[in-house]
Amino acid sequence: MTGMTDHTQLILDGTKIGWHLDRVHAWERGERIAPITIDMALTRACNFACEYCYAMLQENDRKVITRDVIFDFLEDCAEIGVKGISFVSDGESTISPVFADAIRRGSELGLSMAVGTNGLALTKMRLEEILPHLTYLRVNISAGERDRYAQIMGVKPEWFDRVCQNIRDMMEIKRRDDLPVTVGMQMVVMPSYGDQILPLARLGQSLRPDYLVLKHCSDSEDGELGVDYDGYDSLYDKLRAAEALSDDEYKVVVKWSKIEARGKRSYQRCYGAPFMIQLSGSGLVAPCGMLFNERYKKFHIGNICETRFRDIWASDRYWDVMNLLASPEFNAQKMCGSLCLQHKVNETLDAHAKGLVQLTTPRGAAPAHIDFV
Amino acid sequence: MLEPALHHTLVAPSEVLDYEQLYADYQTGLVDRLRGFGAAAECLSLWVPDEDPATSLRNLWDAAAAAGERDIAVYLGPTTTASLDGDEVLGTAARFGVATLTHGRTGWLVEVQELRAAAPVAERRAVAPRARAIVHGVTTTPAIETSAGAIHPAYVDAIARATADVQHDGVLSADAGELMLRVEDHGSTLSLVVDRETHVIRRAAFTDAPHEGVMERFCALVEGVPILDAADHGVARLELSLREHRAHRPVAGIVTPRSADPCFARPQALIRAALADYRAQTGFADWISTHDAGPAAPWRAMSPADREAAVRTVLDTFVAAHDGRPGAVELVAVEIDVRLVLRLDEALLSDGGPRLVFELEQALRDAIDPRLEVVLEEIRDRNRKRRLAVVE
Repeated sequence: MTGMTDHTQLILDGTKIGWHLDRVHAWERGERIAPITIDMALTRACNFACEYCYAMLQENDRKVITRDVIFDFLEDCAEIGVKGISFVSDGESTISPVFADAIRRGSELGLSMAVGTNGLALTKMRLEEILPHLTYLRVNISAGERDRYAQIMGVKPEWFDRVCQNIRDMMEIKRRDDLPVTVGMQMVVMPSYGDQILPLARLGQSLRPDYLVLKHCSDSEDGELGVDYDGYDSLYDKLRAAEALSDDEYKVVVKWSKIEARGKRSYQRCYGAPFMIQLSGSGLVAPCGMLFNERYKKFHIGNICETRFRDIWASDRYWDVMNLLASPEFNAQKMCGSLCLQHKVNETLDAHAKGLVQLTTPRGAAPAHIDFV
Repeated sequence: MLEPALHHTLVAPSEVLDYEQLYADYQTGLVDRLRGFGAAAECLSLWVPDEDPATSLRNLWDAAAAAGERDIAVYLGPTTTASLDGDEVLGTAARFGVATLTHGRTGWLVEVQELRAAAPVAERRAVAPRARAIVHGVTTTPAIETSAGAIHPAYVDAIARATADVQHDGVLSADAGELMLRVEDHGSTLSLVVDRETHVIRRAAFTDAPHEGVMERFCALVEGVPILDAADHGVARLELSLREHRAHRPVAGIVTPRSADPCFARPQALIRAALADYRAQTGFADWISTHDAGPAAPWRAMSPADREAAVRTVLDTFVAAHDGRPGAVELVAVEIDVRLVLRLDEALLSDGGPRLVFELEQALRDAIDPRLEVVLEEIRDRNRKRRLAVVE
């Protein structure tokens, strides 16, 4: 047993930590390792108002990530050995005035760059600018029908049409220029959105992105979003039917491992944070997005709008927080929200630390997006 | 504000967009708004400005065209025009339709009619060059070396104290309903008496340990703990309990028993062997430990008033030690029995920052109960319209 998902070209429901054993071994020796992946946002603001938005629970002191701030940050990341940076969570990064330049600068520095977006502001002209520099671009689209899209994502119905057109444009540019970027769609599935699973999977057949991923919804430790994890049971048939709509060039993937986990954790320590940290759109550096809110100030490490990231990373404060999460004084089963970004890495490293699995480099060619563990 | 001279050129001056106002509103909104954010003008819902005005204007015309607008008029104030070349602006605008640029006394009016998406052009707008060269590479800070065979200094004193008061050496015997386990590793033995019903370790003992203090403390820690949790987390608790000061870590990075000191290898091997033996003898098949010892009896026994008083005492002492005003830290609530929700005076918090909260939690744990947690009052966007903004 290796603890790894069997090799597939595109791992959407697993972890790629096994392909980074050099860093795992350095971590085991007690060395200070640079994160492999950083998940961040360029702003906390968003032009949508999705019903399930976890970022609504992550409010903290706002600061502005300017061009100088993000360029400094990217340079520091390249220097200390970060491999991949995704503008994904907390806010809609594409509406930041520094978005396109940040993508390009990161790419020029040798970093793998990725984006998760609602896709609205990505006009064809902007796509021409950013797609050549991206490893993946994922559009969050949690409904397959116009009116339900407007209802679930808190926007005007016509924005659904705009986003669909933008996805078509992405694929046209990708094919025209034979770009290596992966274009995906993502549905955050709440139990009450079951009616949209198959319409969205069929919409994907028409728009032809590389994949559609159907994932659970995370919730806070107090369940503030009210996600009913038992409610997913009734969706299994629809999820399987959606998967069956896959073809050679369009994959429908369900994050079964997280849905079936029902929001539970098998581990108490959080070992994953040093390998993949998160930054709020306010510039706040914290181990995890679930800890962005001021409520969790004890876990806040620094802010890239005030301090260079290389100095934050090298500070005792950074390692105090990381050590607290890895220590017996922290219990992820009791002190965290559900199914965090680091969940799969945590599962694997915890099993490795307990001697339940022996991490070895998986056989076969490395998967796509290897810098995003 | 559009200057009067330019009003005369327009059929409907109210439809002229003031670029500088739009840009300023956008920047403010990025900080002030949380959800439902957008440019002030309805026709610019796809617009993303740029710090570079030329790029920003290009994005504006592109956004208007993509949104299906037919015509757009933009007034550029003197702050903006100072950094622009009129011919270049007109040239860019002309890519999106029939463009005109009218010079006023202080600003320009740029109108684009018959808007359409611009044909793609190979644009390589230079990203501002940076002076510093980047040296790529994985940066790690090596672990701190100790001399071969020596216990790391972080543990020496605690191990010595435990060695001086050994109470768990020897062998055990089991009573009815209990199971006796005895495992060996490199000549050392660990004996456990485990309750078959609850899987809890009742008694623990060792023999022939290379570091008696280590095994003594380990046996004391695992008594009363389920055997699965002892195998999964017992040695990590041992490491923490033997570390003289929490902040004095033996390695620069993440402390695990494995990275901390070789002295933890023996108890780790023994307890894992004991669990394997227990599984073999009983068929015990659980793999996930959810054990949480919870708070100790004194905290559990306290009334809410007594708890508040105990916390208050620690808070007051802490505040005084940090030169805060009396009452600078308030207990707002106690959640799920162990989570203390605190409100901190802004001045105290801005001086101490997150580290202060960290230290405050440690002070409460040390003084009252190690299971206590500290969180601050949650910050939410308090404007309901903003929080739940839905674009109409």
